[in-house]
Amino acid sequence: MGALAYMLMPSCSMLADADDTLCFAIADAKGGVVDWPDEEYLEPGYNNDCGITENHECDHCDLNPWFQSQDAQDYIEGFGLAQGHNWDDLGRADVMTVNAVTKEIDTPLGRTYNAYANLVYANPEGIELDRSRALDDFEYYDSFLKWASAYVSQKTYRINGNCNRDCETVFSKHCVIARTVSGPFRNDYTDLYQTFFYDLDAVWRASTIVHEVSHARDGISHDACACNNGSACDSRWSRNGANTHELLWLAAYHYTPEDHPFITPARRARAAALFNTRRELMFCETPQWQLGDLRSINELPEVYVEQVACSEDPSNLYYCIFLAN
Amino acid sequence: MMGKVWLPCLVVIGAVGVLAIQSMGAADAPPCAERRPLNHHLSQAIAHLDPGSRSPEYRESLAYLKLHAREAVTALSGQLLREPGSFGKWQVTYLIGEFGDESAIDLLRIFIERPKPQARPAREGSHATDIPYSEEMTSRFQAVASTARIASHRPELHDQVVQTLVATAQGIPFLKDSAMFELQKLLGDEFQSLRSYFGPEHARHFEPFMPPPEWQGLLARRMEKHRREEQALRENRGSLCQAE
Repeated sequence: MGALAYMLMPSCSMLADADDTLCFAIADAKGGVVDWPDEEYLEPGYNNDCGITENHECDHCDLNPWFQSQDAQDYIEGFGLAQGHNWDDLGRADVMTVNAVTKEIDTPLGRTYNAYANLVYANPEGIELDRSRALDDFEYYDSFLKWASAYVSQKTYRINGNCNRDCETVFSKHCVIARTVSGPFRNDYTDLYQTFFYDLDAVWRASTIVHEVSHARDGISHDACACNNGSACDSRWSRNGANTHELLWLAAYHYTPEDHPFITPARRARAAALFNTRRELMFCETPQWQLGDLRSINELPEVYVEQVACSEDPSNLYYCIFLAN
Repeated sequence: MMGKVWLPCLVVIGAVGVLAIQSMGAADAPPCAERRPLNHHLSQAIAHLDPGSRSPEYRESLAYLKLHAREAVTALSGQLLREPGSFGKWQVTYLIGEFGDESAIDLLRIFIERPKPQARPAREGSHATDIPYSEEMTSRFQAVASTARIASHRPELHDQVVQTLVATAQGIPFLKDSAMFELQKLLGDEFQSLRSYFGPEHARHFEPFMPPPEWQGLLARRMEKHRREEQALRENRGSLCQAE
Protein backbone atom coordinates (compact mmCIF):
# COMPACT_ATOMS: atom_id res chain seq x y z
CA MET A 1 0.00 0.00 0.00
CA GLY A 2 2.80 2.34 0.99
CA ALA A 3 4.73 1.56 -2.17
CA LEU A 4 1.62 2.14 -4.30
CA ALA A 5 0.96 5.47 -2.62
CA TYR A 6 4.57 6.48 -3.15
CA MET A 7 4.31 5.61 -6.87
CA LEU A 8 1.17 7.73 -7.22
CA MET A 9 2.70 10.66 -5.42
CA PRO A 10 3.86 13.36 -7.87
CA SER A 11 7.57 13.94 -7.56
CA CYS A 12 8.93 17.17 -6.18
CA SER A 13 10.45 17.94 -9.56
CA MET A 14 7.06 17.56 -11.24
CA LEU A 15 5.50 19.97 -8.77
CA ALA A 16 8.32 22.45 -9.20
CA ASP A 17 8.01 22.28 -12.97
CA ALA A 18 4.26 22.74 -12.82
CA ASP A 19 4.66 25.92 -10.85
CA ASP A 20 7.63 27.16 -12.80
CA THR A 21 6.74 26.46 -16.41
CA LEU A 22 8.67 29.34 -17.90
CA CYS A 23 11.96 28.43 -16.19
CA PHE A 24 11.36 24.83 -17.18
CA ALA A 25 10.69 25.76 -20.81
CA ILE A 26 13.92 27.75 -20.95
CA ALA A 27 15.92 24.94 -19.38
CA ASP A 28 14.32 22.44 -21.77
CA ALA A 29 15.10 24.38 -24.97
CA LYS A 30 15.82 22.10 -27.92
CA GLY A 31 18.64 23.36 -30.10
CA GLY A 32 18.23 26.79 -28.55
CA VAL A 33 14.51 26.94 -29.45
CA VAL A 34 12.25 27.50 -26.46
CA ASP A 35 8.67 26.23 -26.46
CA TRP A 36 7.21 29.26 -24.73
CA PRO A 37 4.24 28.64 -22.43
CA ASP A 38 0.72 29.58 -23.49
CA GLU A 39 -1.58 31.76 -21.49
CA GLU A 40 -4.05 30.37 -19.02
CA TYR A 41 -7.00 30.89 -21.33
CA LEU A 42 -5.41 28.90 -24.09
CA GLU A 43 -5.28 25.72 -22.07
CA PRO A 44 -7.08 22.86 -23.79
CA GLY A 45 -10.08 21.22 -22.22
CA TYR A 46 -11.52 24.49 -21.03
CA ASN A 47 -15.14 23.89 -21.97
CA ASN A 48 -14.11 23.89 -25.59
CA ASP A 49 -15.89 20.77 -26.74
CA CYS A 50 -17.82 22.90 -29.22
CA GLY A 51 -14.98 25.25 -29.99
CA ILE A 52 -16.61 28.26 -28.38
CA THR A 53 -13.81 29.11 -26.03
CA GLU A 54 -10.91 28.31 -28.29
CA ASN A 55 -10.17 31.99 -28.22
CA HIS A 56 -7.22 34.19 -27.62
CA GLU A 57 -6.63 37.87 -27.29
CA CYS A 58 -4.13 38.09 -30.14
CA ASP A 59 -2.18 40.16 -27.66
CA HIS A 60 -2.52 43.19 -29.86
CA CYS A 61 -0.27 41.76 -32.55
CA ASP A 62 -2.20 43.04 -35.59
CA LEU A 63 -1.97 46.65 -34.55
CA ASN A 64 1.35 46.78 -32.80
CA PRO A 65 3.63 49.25 -34.53
CA TRP A 66 6.73 48.07 -32.65
CA PHE A 67 6.52 44.90 -34.69
CA GLN A 68 7.34 46.83 -37.86
CA SER A 69 10.18 49.06 -36.80
CA GLN A 70 13.58 48.67 -35.18
CA ASP A 71 13.38 52.31 -34.07
CA ALA A 72 10.22 51.48 -32.17
CA GLN A 73 11.86 48.48 -30.52
CA ASP A 74 14.82 50.65 -29.53
CA TYR A 75 12.46 53.26 -28.08
CA ILE A 76 10.74 50.61 -25.97
CA GLU A 77 14.09 49.24 -24.85
CA GLY A 78 14.77 52.76 -23.54
CA PHE A 79 12.22 52.23 -20.77
CA GLY A 80 14.82 50.30 -18.77
CA LEU A 81 14.67 47.02 -20.63
CA ALA A 82 18.07 47.56 -22.22
CA GLN A 83 19.65 47.70 -18.76
CA GLY A 84 17.54 44.82 -17.47
CA HIS A 85 18.75 41.35 -16.57
CA ASN A 86 17.72 37.95 -17.94
CA TRP A 87 16.13 39.13 -21.19
CA ASP A 88 18.58 37.06 -23.24
CA ASP A 89 16.92 33.97 -21.78
CA LEU A 90 13.46 35.48 -22.10
CA GLY A 91 13.31 36.12 -25.82
CA ARG A 92 15.92 38.70 -26.79
CA ALA A 93 16.91 36.65 -29.84
CA ASP A 94 13.37 35.81 -30.96
CA VAL A 95 11.33 38.70 -29.62
CA MET A 96 9.07 38.64 -32.68
CA THR A 97 8.25 34.95 -32.50
CA VAL A 98 4.56 34.30 -32.98
CA ASN A 99 2.93 31.12 -31.74
CA ALA A 100 2.04 29.12 -34.86
CA VAL A 101 -1.26 27.93 -33.44
CA THR A 102 -2.52 30.95 -31.57
CA LYS A 103 -0.85 33.65 -33.70
CA GLU A 104 0.17 35.34 -30.48
CA ILE A 105 3.45 37.02 -29.75
CA ASP A 106 4.73 34.49 -27.28
CA THR A 107 8.11 35.44 -25.85
CA PRO A 108 8.16 37.14 -22.46
CA LEU A 109 10.14 40.05 -23.92
CA GLY A 110 7.70 40.42 -26.83
CA ARG A 111 4.78 40.42 -24.44
CA THR A 112 6.57 43.05 -22.36
CA TYR A 113 7.02 45.15 -25.51
CA ASN A 114 3.26 44.83 -26.04
CA ALA A 115 2.69 46.25 -22.58
CA TYR A 116 4.96 49.23 -23.23
CA ALA A 117 3.31 49.75 -26.62
CA ASN A 118 0.15 50.70 -24.73
CA LEU A 119 2.11 53.47 -23.03
CA VAL A 120 3.87 54.64 -26.18
CA TYR A 121 1.11 54.47 -28.82
CA ALA A 122 -1.64 55.80 -26.60
CA ASN A 123 -0.08 59.12 -27.65
CA PRO A 124 -0.47 60.28 -31.23
CA GLU A 125 3.26 61.16 -31.17
CA GLY A 126 4.20 57.53 -30.51
CA ILE A 127 7.97 57.14 -30.50
CA GLU A 128 8.38 60.79 -31.51
CA LEU A 129 7.44 61.86 -27.99
CA ASP A 130 10.44 63.39 -26.23
CA ARG A 131 10.54 61.58 -22.89
CA SER A 132 13.41 63.60 -21.47
CA ARG A 133 11.75 66.93 -20.73
CA ALA A 134 11.06 68.05 -17.17
CA LEU A 135 7.97 66.36 -15.83
CA ASP A 136 6.41 69.69 -14.94
CA ASP A 137 6.53 70.81 -18.59
CA PHE A 138 2.81 70.46 -19.08
CA GLU A 139 2.85 72.63 -22.17
CA TYR A 140 4.65 69.73 -23.82
CA TYR A 141 3.14 66.88 -21.83
CA ASP A 142 -0.33 68.27 -22.38
CA SER A 143 -2.17 65.00 -21.81
CA PHE A 144 -1.86 62.55 -18.94
CA LEU A 145 -0.87 59.80 -21.36
CA LYS A 146 2.08 61.84 -22.66
CA TRP A 147 3.12 62.71 -19.13
CA ALA A 148 2.80 59.08 -18.01
CA SER A 149 5.03 57.85 -20.82
CA ALA A 150 7.75 60.32 -19.79
CA TYR A 151 7.19 59.56 -16.11
CA VAL A 152 7.65 55.83 -16.65
CA SER A 153 10.75 56.46 -18.73
CA GLN A 154 12.38 58.88 -16.30
CA LYS A 155 11.55 57.00 -13.12
CA THR A 156 12.66 53.59 -14.32
CA TYR A 157 16.24 52.46 -13.98
CA ARG A 158 16.14 48.77 -14.74
CA ILE A 159 13.40 46.30 -15.70
CA ASN A 160 14.37 42.67 -15.23
CA GLY A 161 12.67 39.58 -16.55
CA ASN A 162 12.18 36.76 -14.08
CA CYS A 163 11.11 33.30 -15.17
CA ASN A 164 9.79 32.31 -11.75
CA ARG A 165 6.25 32.11 -10.57
CA ASP A 166 5.80 33.52 -7.07
CA CYS A 167 2.46 32.05 -6.05
CA GLU A 168 0.67 31.24 -2.83
CA THR A 169 0.72 27.51 -3.59
CA VAL A 170 1.81 25.20 -6.40
CA PHE A 171 -0.73 25.33 -9.29
CA SER A 172 -2.23 28.50 -7.77
CA LYS A 173 -3.11 31.57 -9.82
CA HIS A 174 -2.76 33.70 -6.72
CA CYS A 175 0.62 35.11 -7.57
CA VAL A 176 2.93 38.08 -7.40
CA ILE A 177 2.87 39.89 -10.75
CA ALA A 178 5.95 42.07 -10.32
CA ARG A 179 8.13 43.39 -7.56
CA THR A 180 10.04 46.67 -7.33
CA VAL A 181 13.04 47.31 -5.14
CA SER A 182 14.03 50.93 -4.68
CA GLY A 183 17.04 52.49 -3.05
CA PRO A 184 18.41 55.91 -2.16
CA PHE A 185 21.10 55.91 -4.84
CA ARG A 186 18.80 55.22 -7.76
CA ASN A 187 19.67 51.54 -7.93
CA ASP A 188 16.02 50.60 -8.10
CA TYR A 189 14.81 47.77 -10.26
CA THR A 190 11.62 45.93 -11.11
CA ASP A 191 11.33 42.18 -11.58
CA LEU A 192 8.54 41.02 -13.87
CA TYR A 193 7.40 37.47 -13.08
CA GLN A 194 5.83 34.76 -15.20
CA THR A 195 2.36 35.86 -14.12
CA PHE A 196 3.02 39.26 -15.70
CA PHE A 197 3.87 37.68 -19.06
CA TYR A 198 1.21 35.00 -19.33
CA ASP A 199 -1.66 35.61 -16.92
CA LEU A 200 -2.41 39.27 -17.72
CA ASP A 201 -3.66 40.89 -20.90
CA ALA A 202 -1.59 43.69 -22.41
CA VAL A 203 -3.63 46.57 -20.95
CA TRP A 204 -3.31 45.20 -17.43
CA ARG A 205 0.40 44.60 -18.04
CA ALA A 206 0.76 48.26 -19.04
CA SER A 207 -1.03 49.55 -15.95
CA THR A 208 1.16 47.23 -13.86
CA ILE A 209 4.23 48.97 -15.25
CA VAL A 210 2.86 52.38 -14.23
CA HIS A 211 2.14 50.88 -10.81
CA GLU A 212 5.62 49.46 -10.34
CA VAL A 213 7.35 52.60 -11.54
CA SER A 214 5.41 54.58 -8.95
CA HIS A 215 6.99 52.35 -6.29
CA ALA A 216 10.41 53.10 -7.70
CA ARG A 217 9.61 56.80 -7.68
CA ASP A 218 8.31 57.12 -4.13
CA GLY A 219 10.24 54.22 -2.60
CA ILE A 220 7.16 53.28 -0.62
CA SER A 221 5.59 49.88 -0.56
CA HIS A 222 1.91 49.20 0.14
CA ASP A 223 0.14 49.69 3.45
CA ALA A 224 -0.46 46.81 5.80
CA CYS A 225 -4.17 47.54 5.95
CA ALA A 226 -6.95 45.22 4.81
CA CYS A 227 -8.48 45.80 1.39
CA ASN A 228 -10.70 43.58 -0.74
CA ASN A 229 -7.69 42.31 -2.67
CA GLY A 230 -6.24 40.86 0.51
CA SER A 231 -2.78 42.34 -0.09
CA ALA A 232 -0.90 45.09 -1.98
CA CYS A 233 -3.35 47.66 -0.61
CA ASP A 234 -2.92 51.42 -0.33
CA SER A 235 -4.72 52.93 2.61
CA ARG A 236 -6.36 55.67 0.57
CA TRP A 237 -6.35 57.39 -2.81
CA SER A 238 -4.76 60.62 -1.52
CA ARG A 239 -1.66 58.73 -0.50
CA ASN A 240 -0.68 59.28 -4.14
CA GLY A 241 0.75 55.78 -4.25
CA ALA A 242 1.19 53.10 -6.86
CA ASN A 243 -2.50 52.19 -6.98
CA THR A 244 -3.54 55.83 -7.46
CA HIS A 245 -1.12 56.24 -10.37
CA GLU A 246 -2.27 53.00 -11.94
CA LEU A 247 -5.90 54.12 -11.80
CA LEU A 248 -5.11 57.53 -13.26
CA TRP A 249 -3.38 55.87 -16.21
CA LEU A 250 -6.26 53.45 -16.77
CA ALA A 251 -8.71 56.36 -16.75
CA ALA A 252 -6.60 58.33 -19.22
CA TYR A 253 -6.35 55.29 -21.50
CA HIS A 254 -10.12 54.85 -21.32
CA TYR A 255 -10.73 58.51 -22.22
CA THR A 256 -8.93 58.37 -25.57
CA PRO A 257 -10.90 59.27 -28.71
CA GLU A 258 -13.29 56.72 -30.23
CA ASP A 259 -11.30 56.50 -33.47
CA HIS A 260 -7.89 56.28 -31.82
CA PRO A 261 -5.47 54.59 -34.25
CA PHE A 262 -4.08 52.22 -31.61
CA ILE A 263 -6.63 51.92 -28.80
CA THR A 264 -9.63 49.91 -29.95
CA PRO A 265 -13.05 49.94 -28.26
CA ALA A 266 -12.31 46.58 -26.59
CA ARG A 267 -9.11 47.90 -25.04
CA ARG A 268 -10.91 51.07 -23.92
CA ALA A 269 -13.62 48.95 -22.29
CA ARG A 270 -11.00 46.72 -20.71
CA ALA A 271 -9.30 49.76 -19.17
CA ALA A 272 -12.62 50.94 -17.70
CA ALA A 273 -13.38 47.52 -16.22
CA LEU A 274 -9.88 47.27 -14.76
CA PHE A 275 -10.20 50.79 -13.34
CA ASN A 276 -13.41 49.87 -11.55
CA THR A 277 -12.03 46.56 -10.30
CA ARG A 278 -8.83 47.97 -8.93
CA ARG A 279 -10.59 50.98 -7.43
CA GLU A 280 -12.82 48.53 -5.55
CA LEU A 281 -10.10 46.09 -4.56
CA MET A 282 -6.84 47.92 -3.96
CA PHE A 283 -7.68 50.60 -1.40
CA CYS A 284 -8.54 50.11 2.26
CA GLU A 285 -10.86 53.11 1.94
CA THR A 286 -12.73 53.01 -1.37
CA PRO A 287 -11.84 56.24 -3.21
CA GLN A 288 -14.49 58.87 -3.79
CA TRP A 289 -12.93 59.51 -7.19
CA GLN A 290 -14.79 57.71 -9.96
CA LEU A 291 -14.21 57.22 -13.65
CA GLY A 292 -16.70 59.99 -14.44
CA ASP A 293 -14.64 62.47 -12.40
CA LEU A 294 -11.54 61.93 -14.51
CA ARG A 295 -12.89 62.74 -17.95
CA SER A 296 -10.64 65.81 -18.41
CA ILE A 297 -7.46 63.95 -17.47
CA ASN A 298 -6.08 64.03 -20.98
CA GLU A 299 -6.64 67.79 -21.26
CA LEU A 300 -5.40 68.96 -17.87
CA PRO A 301 -2.80 66.46 -16.66
CA GLU A 302 -1.29 69.02 -14.27
CA VAL A 303 -4.50 69.20 -12.24
CA TYR A 304 -4.64 65.43 -11.90
CA VAL A 305 -0.94 64.92 -11.17
CA GLU A 306 -0.52 67.81 -8.77
CA GLN A 307 -3.91 68.01 -7.06
CA VAL A 308 -6.34 65.19 -7.77
CA ALA A 309 -3.83 62.46 -6.85
CA CYS A 310 -3.42 63.99 -3.39
CA SER A 311 -7.03 64.95 -2.66
CA GLU A 312 -9.53 62.64 -1.07
CA ASP A 313 -12.54 64.84 -1.67
CA PRO A 314 -13.26 65.85 -5.30
CA SER A 315 -14.89 69.05 -4.05
CA ASN A 316 -11.84 70.03 -2.01
CA LEU A 317 -8.62 69.98 -4.03
CA TYR A 318 -5.24 70.81 -2.62
CA TYR A 319 -1.71 70.63 -3.94
CA CYS A 320 0.52 67.61 -3.38
CA ILE A 321 3.28 68.21 -0.87
CA PHE A 322 5.87 67.03 -3.36
CA LEU A 323 5.53 67.58 -7.07
CA ALA A 324 5.75 64.83 -9.61
CA ASN A 325 9.43 65.23 -10.24
CA MET B 1 2.67 8.26 4.74
CA MET B 2 -0.87 9.62 4.79
CA GLY B 3 0.42 12.92 3.52
CA LYS B 4 1.67 11.19 0.38
CA VAL B 5 -1.68 9.46 -0.16
CA TRP B 6 -4.10 12.34 0.04
CA LEU B 7 -2.58 14.46 -2.71
CA PRO B 8 -3.18 11.98 -5.60
CA CYS B 9 -6.63 11.34 -4.18
CA LEU B 10 -7.40 15.03 -4.32
CA VAL B 11 -6.19 15.16 -7.91
CA VAL B 12 -8.53 12.27 -8.83
CA ILE B 13 -11.46 13.79 -6.94
CA GLY B 14 -10.77 17.13 -8.63
CA ALA B 15 -10.66 15.53 -12.07
CA VAL B 16 -13.96 13.76 -11.43
CA GLY B 17 -15.44 17.07 -10.30
CA VAL B 18 -14.29 18.84 -13.44
CA LEU B 19 -15.73 16.08 -15.63
CA ALA B 20 -19.01 16.31 -13.74
CA ILE B 21 -19.21 20.07 -14.26
CA GLN B 22 -18.36 19.72 -17.94
CA SER B 23 -21.06 17.11 -18.43
CA MET B 24 -23.56 19.45 -16.73
CA GLY B 25 -22.68 22.12 -19.26
CA ALA B 26 -23.05 19.69 -22.13
CA ALA B 27 -26.44 18.57 -20.85
CA ASP B 28 -27.78 22.12 -20.81
CA ALA B 29 -26.57 23.12 -24.26
CA PRO B 30 -27.85 21.87 -27.64
CA PRO B 31 -25.61 19.31 -29.38
CA CYS B 32 -22.52 20.77 -31.03
CA ALA B 33 -23.58 19.79 -34.54
CA GLU B 34 -26.68 21.95 -34.25
CA ARG B 35 -24.62 24.97 -33.28
CA ARG B 36 -21.83 24.79 -35.81
CA PRO B 37 -22.27 28.14 -37.62
CA LEU B 38 -22.98 29.79 -34.29
CA ASN B 39 -19.81 28.31 -32.80
CA HIS B 40 -17.80 29.47 -35.75
CA HIS B 41 -19.03 33.04 -35.40
CA LEU B 42 -18.62 33.08 -31.63
CA SER B 43 -15.05 31.85 -31.96
CA GLN B 44 -14.30 34.26 -34.77
CA ALA B 45 -15.79 37.24 -32.95
CA ILE B 46 -13.77 36.51 -29.84
CA ALA B 47 -10.59 35.89 -31.82
CA HIS B 48 -11.00 39.31 -33.48
CA LEU B 49 -12.36 41.12 -30.44
CA ASP B 50 -9.24 43.23 -30.05
CA PRO B 51 -9.28 44.92 -33.48
CA GLY B 52 -13.09 44.84 -33.32
CA SER B 53 -14.93 46.51 -36.17
CA ARG B 54 -11.61 47.19 -37.93
CA SER B 55 -11.57 43.46 -38.67
CA PRO B 56 -13.85 42.21 -41.51
CA GLU B 57 -14.12 38.84 -39.76
CA TYR B 58 -15.37 40.54 -36.61
CA ARG B 59 -17.93 42.59 -38.53
CA GLU B 60 -19.19 39.48 -40.32
CA SER B 61 -19.52 37.46 -37.13
CA LEU B 62 -21.08 40.29 -35.15
CA ALA B 63 -23.75 40.69 -37.85
CA TYR B 64 -24.52 36.96 -37.58
CA LEU B 65 -24.61 37.07 -33.78
CA LYS B 66 -26.99 40.04 -33.80
CA LEU B 67 -29.36 38.00 -35.97
CA HIS B 68 -29.03 34.94 -33.72
CA ALA B 69 -28.67 36.75 -30.44
CA ARG B 70 -30.88 34.50 -28.34
CA GLU B 71 -29.05 31.30 -29.34
CA ALA B 72 -25.68 32.99 -28.88
CA VAL B 73 -26.63 34.19 -25.40
CA THR B 74 -27.73 30.66 -24.50
CA ALA B 75 -24.44 29.26 -25.79
CA LEU B 76 -22.40 31.68 -23.69
CA SER B 77 -24.47 31.51 -20.52
CA GLY B 78 -22.56 28.53 -19.12
CA GLN B 79 -19.24 30.30 -19.37
CA LEU B 80 -20.66 33.45 -17.82
CA LEU B 81 -22.41 31.78 -14.90
CA ARG B 82 -20.27 28.75 -14.16
CA GLU B 83 -16.67 29.41 -15.14
CA PRO B 84 -14.21 31.07 -12.78
CA GLY B 85 -12.93 34.55 -13.61
CA SER B 86 -10.48 34.78 -16.50
CA PHE B 87 -9.63 37.13 -19.33
CA GLY B 88 -11.65 34.85 -21.61
CA LYS B 89 -14.68 35.36 -19.39
CA TRP B 90 -14.22 39.12 -19.60
CA GLN B 91 -14.10 38.82 -23.41
CA VAL B 92 -17.38 36.91 -23.43
CA THR B 93 -19.00 39.48 -21.15
CA TYR B 94 -17.85 42.28 -23.44
CA LEU B 95 -19.02 40.47 -26.57
CA ILE B 96 -22.52 39.89 -25.19
CA GLY B 97 -22.88 43.66 -24.92
CA GLU B 98 -21.95 44.04 -28.58
CA PHE B 99 -24.69 41.81 -30.01
CA GLY B 100 -27.06 41.15 -27.10
CA ASP B 101 -30.84 41.33 -27.08
CA GLU B 102 -33.46 41.16 -24.33
CA SER B 103 -32.23 37.74 -23.24
CA ALA B 104 -28.72 39.16 -22.89
CA ILE B 105 -29.99 41.83 -20.49
CA ASP B 106 -31.62 39.06 -18.44
CA LEU B 107 -28.45 36.96 -18.44
CA LEU B 108 -26.23 39.89 -17.51
CA ARG B 109 -28.62 40.79 -14.72
CA ILE B 110 -28.45 37.26 -13.29
CA PHE B 111 -24.66 37.47 -13.45
CA ILE B 112 -24.59 40.92 -11.85
CA GLU B 113 -26.85 39.82 -9.01
CA ARG B 114 -24.73 36.86 -8.00
CA PRO B 115 -23.14 37.16 -4.56
CA LYS B 116 -19.99 39.26 -4.54
CA PRO B 117 -16.94 37.00 -4.79
CA GLN B 118 -14.27 37.03 -2.11
CA ALA B 119 -10.51 37.02 -2.56
CA ARG B 120 -8.57 34.21 -0.97
CA PRO B 121 -6.27 35.45 1.76
CA ALA B 122 -2.63 35.90 0.81
CA ARG B 123 0.43 35.34 2.96
CA GLU B 124 1.21 38.41 5.00
CA GLY B 125 3.34 40.81 3.01
CA SER B 126 3.29 38.63 -0.12
CA HIS B 127 1.63 41.27 -2.38
CA ALA B 128 0.14 38.44 -4.43
CA THR B 129 -2.90 39.01 -6.62
CA ASP B 130 -5.66 36.44 -6.85
CA ILE B 131 -6.00 36.55 -10.65
CA PRO B 132 -9.26 34.53 -11.04
CA TYR B 133 -10.92 36.64 -8.35
CA SER B 134 -9.71 39.86 -9.90
CA GLU B 135 -10.88 38.75 -13.35
CA GLU B 136 -14.26 37.73 -11.93
CA MET B 137 -14.68 41.23 -10.51
CA THR B 138 -13.58 42.73 -13.82
CA SER B 139 -16.25 40.66 -15.60
CA ARG B 140 -18.90 41.88 -13.13
CA PHE B 141 -18.02 45.49 -13.87
CA GLN B 142 -17.97 44.71 -17.57
CA ALA B 143 -21.45 43.19 -17.27
CA VAL B 144 -22.76 46.58 -16.15
CA ALA B 145 -21.07 48.32 -19.10
CA SER B 146 -22.28 45.62 -21.51
CA THR B 147 -25.85 46.04 -20.31
CA ALA B 148 -25.61 49.74 -21.14
CA ARG B 149 -24.01 48.97 -24.49
CA ILE B 150 -27.04 46.95 -25.61
CA ALA B 151 -29.14 50.13 -25.68
CA SER B 152 -26.82 51.64 -28.28
CA HIS B 153 -27.47 49.00 -30.93
CA ARG B 154 -31.01 48.05 -29.85
CA PRO B 155 -32.72 51.38 -29.08
CA GLU B 156 -36.03 49.58 -28.53
CA LEU B 157 -34.50 48.10 -25.35
CA HIS B 158 -33.41 51.48 -24.01
CA ASP B 159 -35.99 51.60 -21.20
CA GLN B 160 -35.28 48.05 -20.10
CA VAL B 161 -31.57 48.81 -19.97
CA VAL B 162 -32.18 51.94 -17.89
CA GLN B 163 -34.40 50.01 -15.46
CA THR B 164 -31.73 47.32 -15.07
CA LEU B 165 -29.00 49.85 -14.43
CA VAL B 166 -31.12 51.76 -11.91
CA ALA B 167 -31.89 48.48 -10.10
CA THR B 168 -28.18 47.65 -10.09
CA ALA B 169 -27.25 51.07 -8.71
CA GLN B 170 -29.88 50.76 -5.98
CA GLY B 171 -29.36 47.14 -5.05
CA ILE B 172 -25.71 46.17 -5.48
CA PRO B 173 -23.40 48.45 -3.50
CA PHE B 174 -20.11 47.54 -5.15
CA LEU B 175 -21.55 48.10 -8.64
CA LYS B 176 -23.40 51.32 -7.79
CA ASP B 177 -20.74 53.75 -9.05
CA SER B 178 -20.30 51.80 -12.25
CA ALA B 179 -24.04 51.65 -12.94
CA MET B 180 -24.40 55.39 -12.27
CA PHE B 181 -21.51 56.10 -14.65
CA GLU B 182 -23.19 54.09 -17.39
CA LEU B 183 -26.53 55.79 -16.77
CA GLN B 184 -24.85 59.16 -17.03
CA LYS B 185 -23.29 58.22 -20.39
CA LEU B 186 -26.50 56.69 -21.69
CA LEU B 187 -28.90 59.44 -20.67
CA GLY B 188 -26.78 62.57 -21.05
CA ASP B 189 -28.64 65.59 -19.66
CA GLU B 190 -31.65 63.39 -18.88
CA PHE B 191 -29.56 61.70 -16.20
CA GLN B 192 -30.47 64.52 -13.81
CA SER B 193 -34.10 63.38 -13.96
CA LEU B 194 -33.09 60.27 -12.00
CA ARG B 195 -32.25 62.30 -8.90
CA SER B 196 -35.62 61.55 -7.36
CA TYR B 197 -34.89 57.82 -7.47
CA PHE B 198 -31.81 58.20 -5.32
CA GLY B 199 -31.19 59.58 -1.85
CA PRO B 200 -28.91 62.49 -0.91
CA GLU B 201 -26.02 60.07 -0.38
CA HIS B 202 -25.93 59.66 -4.16
CA ALA B 203 -25.61 63.40 -4.84
CA ARG B 204 -21.96 62.98 -5.89
CA HIS B 205 -23.02 61.09 -8.98
CA PHE B 206 -25.13 63.98 -10.20
CA GLU B 207 -22.31 66.48 -9.73
CA PRO B 208 -19.17 64.92 -11.23
CA PHE B 209 -15.84 66.63 -10.70
CA MET B 210 -15.13 69.60 -12.93
CA PRO B 211 -11.71 71.24 -12.90
CA PRO B 212 -11.84 74.54 -10.96
CA PRO B 213 -12.97 77.66 -12.86
CA GLU B 214 -9.43 79.01 -13.25
CA TRP B 215 -8.61 75.96 -15.39
CA GLN B 216 -11.57 76.20 -17.73
CA GLY B 217 -9.84 78.45 -20.26
CA LEU B 218 -6.86 76.13 -20.56
CA LEU B 219 -9.22 73.15 -20.74
CA ALA B 220 -11.02 74.66 -23.73
CA ARG B 221 -7.72 75.50 -25.49
CA ARG B 222 -6.30 72.03 -24.96
CA MET B 223 -9.50 70.37 -26.17
CA GLU B 224 -9.32 72.43 -29.33
CA LYS B 225 -5.61 71.70 -29.78
CA HIS B 226 -6.11 67.95 -29.35
CA ARG B 227 -9.06 68.01 -31.73
CA ARG B 228 -6.88 69.64 -34.38
CA GLU B 229 -4.04 67.15 -33.78
CA GLU B 230 -6.40 64.21 -34.09
CA GLN B 231 -7.88 65.65 -37.26
CA ALA B 232 -4.40 66.07 -38.76
CA LEU B 233 -3.56 62.51 -37.77
CA ARG B 234 -6.71 61.20 -39.43
CA GLU B 235 -5.99 63.13 -42.62
CA ASN B 236 -2.39 61.93 -42.62
CA ARG B 237 -3.58 58.34 -42.21
CA GLY B 238 -6.14 58.86 -44.96
CA SER B 239 -3.54 60.12 -47.42
CA LEU B 240 -1.20 57.23 -46.53
CA CYS B 241 -3.99 54.75 -47.21
CA GLN B 242 -4.73 56.36 -50.58
CA ALA B 243 -1.04 56.26 -51.45
CA GLU B 244 -1.01 52.51 -50.74
